[in-house]
Amino acid sequence: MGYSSSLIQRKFKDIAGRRYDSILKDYREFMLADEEMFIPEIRSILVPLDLFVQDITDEALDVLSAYDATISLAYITDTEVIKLLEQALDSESTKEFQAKKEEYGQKLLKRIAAKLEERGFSTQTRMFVGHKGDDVVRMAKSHDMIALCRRYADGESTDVSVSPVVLRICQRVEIPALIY
Amino acid sequence: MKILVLIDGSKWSQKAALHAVEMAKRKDAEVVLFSVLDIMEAKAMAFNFCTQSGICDQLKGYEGRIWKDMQKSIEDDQNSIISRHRGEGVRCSSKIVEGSIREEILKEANSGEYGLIVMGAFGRSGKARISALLEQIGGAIKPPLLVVR
Amino acid sequence: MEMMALIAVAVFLFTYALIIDERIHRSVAAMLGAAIVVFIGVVPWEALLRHVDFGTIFLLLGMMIIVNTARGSGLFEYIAIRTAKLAKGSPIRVLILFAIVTAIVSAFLDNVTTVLLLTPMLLYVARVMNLNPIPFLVTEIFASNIGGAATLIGDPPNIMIASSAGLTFNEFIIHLAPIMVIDMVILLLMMYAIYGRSMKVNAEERQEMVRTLNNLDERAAITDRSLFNKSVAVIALVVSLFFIHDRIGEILNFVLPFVDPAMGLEPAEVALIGAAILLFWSRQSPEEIFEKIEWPALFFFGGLFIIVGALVETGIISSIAAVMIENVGSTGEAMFIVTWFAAIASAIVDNIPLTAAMIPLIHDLGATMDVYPLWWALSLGACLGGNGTAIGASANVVVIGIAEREGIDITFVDFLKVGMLVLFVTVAVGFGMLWLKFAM
Repeated sequence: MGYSSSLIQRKFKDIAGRRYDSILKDYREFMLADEEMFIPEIRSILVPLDLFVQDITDEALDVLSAYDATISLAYITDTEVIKLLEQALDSESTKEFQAKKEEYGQKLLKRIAAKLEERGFSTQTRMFVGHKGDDVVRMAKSHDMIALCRRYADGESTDVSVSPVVLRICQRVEIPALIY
Repeated sequence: MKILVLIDGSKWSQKAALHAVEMAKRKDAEVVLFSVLDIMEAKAMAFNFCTQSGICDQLKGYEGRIWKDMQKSIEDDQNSIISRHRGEGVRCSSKIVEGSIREEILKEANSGEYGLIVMGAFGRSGKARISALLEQIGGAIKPPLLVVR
Repeated sequence: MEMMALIAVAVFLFTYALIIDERIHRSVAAMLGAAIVVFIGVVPWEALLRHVDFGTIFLLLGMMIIVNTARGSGLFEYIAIRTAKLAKGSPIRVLILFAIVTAIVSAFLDNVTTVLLLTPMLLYVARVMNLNPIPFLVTEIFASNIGGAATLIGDPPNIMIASSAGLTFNEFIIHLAPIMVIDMVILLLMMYAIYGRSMKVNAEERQEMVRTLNNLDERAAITDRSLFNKSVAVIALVVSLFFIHDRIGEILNFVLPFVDPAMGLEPAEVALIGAAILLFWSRQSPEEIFEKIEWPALFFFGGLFIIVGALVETGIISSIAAVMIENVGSTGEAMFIVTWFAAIASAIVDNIPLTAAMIPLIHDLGATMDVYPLWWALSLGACLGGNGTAIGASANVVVIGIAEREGIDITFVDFLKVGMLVLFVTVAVGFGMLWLKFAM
């Protein structure tokens, strides 16, 4: 390498080196690079539950069983619902509702965890009041895969489309998503 | 079990195939690469090219050539995926059909043969938006659907 | 005093040698030189504040904030994809369109950022078309330097000259922009003559390129739609404020009668006002944006101002000016010397340190002659002189550096051949036009 070529390299590094790296990364945001073509190991799978998700289907469990992963079940009650109830009802009734809801959630978590453990999965459970979209996206950062029921956060609508919250979660998480 | 992978020629669908092969190894399953070609896309592209370049006298010819190109490029794409995973001990076959993308995918996916459908999270237009296909087919597909990125 | 002058000259030469060689980061070299002359008292504190041109530094700072905020929206990737698509599969159109877009963007935003953001797309397009990327890259470099020369904010030498001489944005538009438009046309003709033959593709390749590029969705590049819109709006506002920055009082006075009609804003103030508006409006995290400011560049300027300040303080600059005055008969002759000296010297030293040293010299010449035309001569020479060699301006280094990383070799000598040709033709045309205007 001659003097002029190493000179240009030195100058390039000083003027733009690191900025160019970050710009390349931005471009790759919409063009997948070759080094992204690998599958990270899947050790933990997040499965959000709510009032509309009664069960994990056998087909989905069959797929999940391919991975040697811990399943984190999370039951989320919407903050907004609780707030609305607080406005509509007295605090006594809200508390009662919350207790009922909690009881239901615990039962569901227990039932599904038992089913999973029967099939040889190790499980973790969590229950909290929060946002069904944002909190799942946040939790997904510490998991390797997410499994979402089509009906999650959707209510009892009868059409066949995927819940919009599920689509939005798919857009925002950076891990593979299984929709069942 | 059979696993269906939706291939659209984007890098993300190649990655979907990667996931499917990995899954097939663990479940001793068979992988089917599946693509749908829509003649309307060739028509639209030929029309675009003709209005942009001003060379319109051979419009019909362009359409035919583009259509042939589309077929060839999706075949190449599937073949390269198959050859990449050859030697990994997974049965891998390819299937290319013509027709409306949504309908053909649903027909195949819901035929009862498949235990899992795998697709890329993004299409050919890049990473900013989730694949429009997911919205179109997500609700109507019966087997579990793995969306990879 | 003799000793002091000797040290000032030694520090100046030593620092400039370090800057040319860049074995040490240019900003560190400049700060080190500045530290020496400050430490031994050549430049005392009061003089230091006078020599460091805050007009230049604040203008750069403001524009860096605006550009870095706008970058987050995907604005530049959007422009790059749009440009590539407009070419409709013709290589020569890619060359021309990218040259024009580069020139226009460089005229309003800094050259380094412009080429940093456009080069990856240009390389991608060249790869898709299966063409030698070098013609596209060198044309981009020349276009960036010519475009940058057209406005007050386009290129650091212009910013420095304007700030020091108190020139307005519109004066640059009147005196330099027409030259640069003509130089652009000449550049494109030259590039066509040199590279046109190697750019033929057949209909099938054309179609392949259109198809590949159609698969790129420019809207997918926009990562933040609202930030995108706000960035475009603020850049448009800032540019229009530049057009009226010296007469802003007159205009404001219509709406707000308490504003003094004689009030004017410095370009630096306009840039910082724009930066404040964009930061407020977009609600981007200021920590992240401020982190992206190119502090090394700002300290590089600061250091240079002090080192050159040492030459002023010790009287070196005024003795050189005295020699010049004795030997130069007319304004036209002075213009000739300034233009060509600046052009050739800035091809070697990089145009920023060259301009820093030339500015006080021209101020000193003002004692006996009208220096107004000399500012334009300096700008012309310094900006277009950057085209001469691979290290003449920052944009050259950036594009050639990127190319090298991607495995494309543009050697110093290869660039020199085309660069010197472009330098002589464009500077000669520009000088001719300035001559007709000021010396006839």
